[in-house]
Amino acid sequence: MLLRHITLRDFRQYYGQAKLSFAVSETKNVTIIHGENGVGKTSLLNAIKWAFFGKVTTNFRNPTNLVNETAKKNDRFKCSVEIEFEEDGVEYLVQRFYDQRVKKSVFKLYKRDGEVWGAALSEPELIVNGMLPSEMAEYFFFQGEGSNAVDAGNNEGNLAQSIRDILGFKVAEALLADLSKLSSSARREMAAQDTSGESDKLDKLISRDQMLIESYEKAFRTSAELLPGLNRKLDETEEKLAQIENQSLQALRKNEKELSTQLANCKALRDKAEKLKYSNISKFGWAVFGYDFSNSSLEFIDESQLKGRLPEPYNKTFIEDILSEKKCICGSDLHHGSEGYKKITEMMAKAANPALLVRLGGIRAQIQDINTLYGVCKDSINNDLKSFDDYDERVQQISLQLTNVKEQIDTIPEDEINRLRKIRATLKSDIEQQTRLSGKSEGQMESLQSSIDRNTLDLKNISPNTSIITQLQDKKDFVNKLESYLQGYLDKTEKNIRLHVLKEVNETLAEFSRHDFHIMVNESDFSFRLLDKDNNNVGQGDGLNLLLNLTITAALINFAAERRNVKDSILTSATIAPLIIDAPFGVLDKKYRNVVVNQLPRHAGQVVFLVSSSQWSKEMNDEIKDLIGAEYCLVLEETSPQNNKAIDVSNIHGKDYVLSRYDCDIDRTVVEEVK
Amino acid sequence: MTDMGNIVAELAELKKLEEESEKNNILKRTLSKLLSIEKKATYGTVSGGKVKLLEREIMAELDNYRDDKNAS
Repeated sequence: MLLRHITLRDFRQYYGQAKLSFAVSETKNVTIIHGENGVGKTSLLNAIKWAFFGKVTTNFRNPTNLVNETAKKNDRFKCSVEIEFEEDGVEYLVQRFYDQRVKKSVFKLYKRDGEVWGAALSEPELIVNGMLPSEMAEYFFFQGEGSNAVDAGNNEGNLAQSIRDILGFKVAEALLADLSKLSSSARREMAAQDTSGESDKLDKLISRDQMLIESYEKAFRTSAELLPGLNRKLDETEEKLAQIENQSLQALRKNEKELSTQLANCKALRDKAEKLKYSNISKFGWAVFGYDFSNSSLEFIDESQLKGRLPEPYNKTFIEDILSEKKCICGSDLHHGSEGYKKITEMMAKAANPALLVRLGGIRAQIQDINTLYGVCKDSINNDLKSFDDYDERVQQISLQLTNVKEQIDTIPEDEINRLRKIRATLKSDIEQQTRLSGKSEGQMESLQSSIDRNTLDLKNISPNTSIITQLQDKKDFVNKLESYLQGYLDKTEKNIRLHVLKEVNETLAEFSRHDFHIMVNESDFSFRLLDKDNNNVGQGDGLNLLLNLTITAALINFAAERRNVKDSILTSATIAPLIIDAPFGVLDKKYRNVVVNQLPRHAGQVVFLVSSSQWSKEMNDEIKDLIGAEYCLVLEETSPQNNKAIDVSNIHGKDYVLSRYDCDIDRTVVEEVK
Repeated sequence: MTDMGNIVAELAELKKLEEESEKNNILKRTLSKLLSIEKKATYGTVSGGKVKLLEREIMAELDNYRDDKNAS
């Protein structure tokens, strides 16, 4: 499908007629529509969606109030949207008119016949949905900020449903439900043919069992739907717990253990050093303490005992000879009673005797021993003291570290751990319960099916062998065969295709994201999670969420394009529809905008970007300038005076374009082409 | 994981084989007609009641189904 032109008449902000032509060239397939908030970008997206399907996006306010307010003041209560488009080389014109007073719309579709449009085609909805089913359109007419095409936001997105939509399962699933009703109806008709009442009784039993099977099936499906989610949540809870315990508590516990060991070792070494210190002090301490004392004692002994005494041994005979000669060798008079005689005899009286000298010699020797010992032991004792001090200081340091670690352990969110543990216990219990329920439902379904088979056989046996019964039986068999064939076809197709889509999604993600992200899919329900290179969950903010949505949209468009040539008589053939994105870059980080704006046009056949000046940059423009085939500005015109209001200006290709005007004749949005 | 190229080729081949035996494939032929009615009912309007139309198509093919069943 290729959009060529759109014409709006009195539709929302667009008073009178507004017309745009889209880029249709294969090499220039991008249309850019610039407009500030509230000017009419979302209205334009919704005009397209509404024209084709009579639907609008969820963020489109007052969806039944479509007619322009100024038009209503001028007694014009109708609006319309016309779109000229091409499908498989054939040109069509779709028109939808809306009457505000009766709140009803009229839908018309025309096919080009030469130079003119032919007569209005019958069943236009059917034809349009045959080209692009409305459920598929959700993936092409995309509201960037307001909705999520695949509800990827909370990790609960079900990619399987998106794939079913793209494959066109909607019609096939509706037929399956109708076939089931037709089968039951045939059986009831068979039972009604037996007048004995036995068949009716059996039919009632079969109906009851079928109803029970349906309820067990529902329970089984509920469990099957719940279990993957519960298991996923359990995995996530386990992961969170492991993260807290591994990254914080376990690391701290390890550190605590190591420090405790270090502390014990250090204390042992300190104790050993202390013992050695005391041992050496007790052994040599007296020498250390006695060292100073001994030195002063030695001086004292020498001074007090020997000062003024004749040194021993002295020559006593020589002294006595001098005294008897009464004359000193120096010639002095030494007569008895003389001064010289007195001094010599006094000195003789104080002369050191041998016993004293021996005693003093002993003391002196001991003091010298102390000095010698001091010289030997002082370094050893000093080392002992230093060693003890070092170990003691290390003990203090480790004790401090240990205290810090223990304080950190105390700050670990034990409440959070306990909360997660409780959640884990609840999840485990729920999983157990759902598994039990699932098993029970399965068992009951098997048992009931056996009962149905038995009663069906009995019903067949007791039913009168009339041509009507045979006809009904054949009809029922045929319907059951159709049901089974269709179900099998859908199951097989979905299984094959969704794995391929996953590959597409991951490849597109690699193009779009600068991170090494990938998508992990739960095979049972095809829900998905965004993971980093180490398989950790990636927290999805708004920006990443939008990126993921754009990724999946691009991948689904790829898939639809690839499947376009697969003509399938059961499932709807895929189409390549234009990708129209309103406000696609609002919450996207700038670094991703350039990549996305560059890649999207390469995935879709035709792209329309509806952007505000805050979402568009020169860099983005440079990325796709060669692909731009049409470009417009939506200009706000207001009757009110400008006063202090700023004029909106957007710089496009280096030229300023005014996007708001005041003191105008009419309140409206006008479309102006960028040239 | 199956490569899309293989899937497309496989489906195309399957389609060719199916087209050859289309006329004899009562189930697929009937389903195609029933889906057409269902599609009309889903996206447009059907007159005369959807289930009745479906039933009519089924009854129209019932003899063929019976013959096919008896033959096999």
